[in-house]
Parts: sequence; C-alpha cells; structure tokens
Amino acid sequence: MHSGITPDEMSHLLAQLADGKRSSMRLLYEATAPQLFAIIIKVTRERSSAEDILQETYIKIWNNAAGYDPGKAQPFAWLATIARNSAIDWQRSHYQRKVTPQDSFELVEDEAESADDRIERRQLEKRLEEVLAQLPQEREAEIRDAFFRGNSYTDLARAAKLPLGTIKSRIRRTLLQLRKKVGDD
Amino acid sequence: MTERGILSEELDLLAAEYALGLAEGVEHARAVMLETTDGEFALRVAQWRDHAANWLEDIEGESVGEHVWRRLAPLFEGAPIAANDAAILADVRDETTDWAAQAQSWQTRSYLAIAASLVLAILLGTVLTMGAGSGTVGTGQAGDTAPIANAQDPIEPAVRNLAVAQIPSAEGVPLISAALDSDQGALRLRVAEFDTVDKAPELWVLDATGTPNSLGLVDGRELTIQLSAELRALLVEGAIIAVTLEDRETAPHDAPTGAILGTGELVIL
Repeated sequence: MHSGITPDEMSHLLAQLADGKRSSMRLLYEATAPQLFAIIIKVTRERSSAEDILQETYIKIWNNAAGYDPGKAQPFAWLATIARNSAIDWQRSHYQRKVTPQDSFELVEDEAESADDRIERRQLEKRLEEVLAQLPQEREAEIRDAFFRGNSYTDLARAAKLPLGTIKSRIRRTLLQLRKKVGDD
Repeated sequence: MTERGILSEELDLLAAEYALGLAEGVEHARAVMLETTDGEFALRVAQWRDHAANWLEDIEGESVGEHVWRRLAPLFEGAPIAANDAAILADVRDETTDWAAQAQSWQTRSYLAIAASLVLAILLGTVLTMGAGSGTVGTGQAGDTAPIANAQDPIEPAVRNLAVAQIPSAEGVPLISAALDSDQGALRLRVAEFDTVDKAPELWVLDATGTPNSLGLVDGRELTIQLSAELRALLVEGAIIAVTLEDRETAPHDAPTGAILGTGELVIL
C-alpha cells in the first residue's frame, strides 16, 4: 500500500501539479513510486525496463494532472491505471519487436489435431476445470494476472496453449462468481 | 438504457470483459457502443474498472533505486544532472517539450489501443445519429457556424465520404469520438465531460510537418464543426488529431499550450 499520505492529500498534490507546481511531484513520487513500480514490474516482469517505464509514468502524471477528476476516480487508482497502461504499452511494443515470422503463424487451436488426441485433451481439460473450480482464489488470480498484463482472451489462450473457447468458458465462470462482489467495493 | 432496466447476465459479463481488457473484435465493438449509449452498461463498466483498480492497490510496493528519482529531479527540482543520466534525461525532456514528437508517441500508443474498423464503423453510427440538439462550433477559420444536419435530415452514409477517429485518454477512456463527412466538410464530435472551469478542450490536427492546427474549442458534449477548406485538406487518411486543455477566453489558438490529453488517427471508411 502507498504510505504516509491520504487520498485527499494525494488529490491535493495532483491539483497542485495541475496548477504547475513542479515541486509537489517529489512528495507524490515518494508516496507512490514503490507501488507504481510494483505494478509495472507485475506487467513487464523485468526490473530494468520497469525503471524507465516508471519515469515515463511520472512524466505522464505531470502532463495529465489537469485531467484528473476526483469525482470519477480515487487518486491512487488513477495513478495506478496510468502506470499499468504505460507498462502494457511497453510490453506490447517490446513483444512486437520480438515477433518472428514463425510466431506470426502460430495458431491458437491446432486444426490438425487428431480426434483421439482431442478427446483425450478435452477429458484432461475437464478434469482440470473440476479441480480449478474448487479453487476460487486461484481462479480470481488468473483474471487479476490477465488484467495486470493487459491480456485478451486470445493472449490467454495462446499462453495456456488451450482453445479460445475453453479459456473463455473458464474465465466467464469466474467472472460470474466475481460479479456479486463488483459494485459493493 | 437497457430494455429490462437491469443488466442481463450476458451484458454484465460483456461489461466485465470490456473493463478488464479481455473482450476483442465484435464483442469489444459492441461494448464500446453500449458504453456510449447505455447508461447502466456504462455504470457497470465503471464498477468493474473500480474493482480492478482495487487489485492494483493491493499490490505490495517494491523498493525503487534512488537513481530513478535523480533522473526525474531536474524536471521537478532543478537538481544537477548526473553525467550518466544525461541520455535518459534527454529522452524524458524530449517527451515533454517536443509537441510533435509527443503527439506521435501518443498516436503510436493509441493506435494499438483503438479498435479495428468495425469499432470505428459502430462509433460512426453512434456519432452520426446524434440528435438535433447537438451544438455547433466554428473554427475561427470557417465562418459558417450553422448546424449542418438535424434529426429531420438523416445522413446517408453509403453515399458519403466518411472517416472516423477516436481519441482515448492515457487511461484508455474515450475522450472524443469524431466522424468526418468530407462531402459536407463537417466534423461531428461526441466529447467526454471535462471538469474544468476556465479551460476547455481544444482539438488539433497535425499537418505534414507535425505542426498542430486548431480545429477550435470543443466545449460541449455533442458538437459539429463546420470546417474551412484549409482544414478539410488536412483531414485526410491517417491524419493525427489531438486534444489539449486551453483557455476559453483566447481561443482559437495558434499553437497548443496545454499537455496533450490524447490523440487519434483518422481512418477512412
């Protein structure tokens, strides 16, 4: 958690930045940098790049402070979203640079899979689903991780080497469990 | 609003998938449209986003090396610059001072975030069907500020030269959705709410040299800009449009003074 500063104080600092008071950035940085850094690392899983992204994040905070609306978002949530989005942008551009021709032709679902293999795999997936269904915290963590990293269903299917439909069904079951909590925050 | 007054399970799932970044393609496009047109859906998306923001807040902090602040300090404290930090600092300064480069950087990022042509087509439909109550603004160069269309003058997209653009914020929230009717020289806008008193969003289009040209203040939620011939010539395929916050009293401006809140690329349909 960010420490030593209340949400109201954080909003006040953002207002000062919006008014051009550059020195307020030091206080905001000291209160929030460790956690924004952790968010960025969570996305990039790489510390050295995360430092560059953290700097970029504070530049964006400075540039966009006038657009912060306390009525629409908690101040830290606003900062965290900028950090996450900056890290996801970096991740996507970094990934794109590394894409090889072979990667471009990778298929999420292997159309050439034999019928026997498919039946066996689906049975395995079903058993896995049954086990995972009993572990709601782990299932929620999967969704959190997808959110942190900015992964779409296709990204998740590719990473898990599972058919898109399987991933969607799995995530949707967890979302249906989560929906009762959402709005009560 | 939703027909049944409450969101169905299916729509709630879509709101979740959209807010969390899981939705793609047609589903993403549908969510964009619903967020614009369905208040309950938009509220649910916001609730899912808030929930996800709590996840971010729950992450334990990591220690940050002092050198990270040292690189930022010259921008905010005027502290001396360490020699080995000069290159990084130069990059940082470029981003804050070179408007065109900043716009290009934003454009690159927004390009990744903006949905494909299907989304844009749906947005176009949404913007084009804005009601007769829409405001109209002049650009200071156009002269004619009369509304170009109303509910009794339905537009026929099939026979018009149309282009669309969406400008998201740094957080990915749509700030402005724009639909250009090249035949009529009209740029129709749906604008997010900006909580400002003395400033208002001003729209810009970058010319071939990267120089911003004002399209005028967009001080309202639904507007139509009647474009001058000069501005029409700039609004071509791939043109970058951007939004900043500027003083109301002195608009339109020769050049932006505020930071870029977001940029988008014009896509011809």
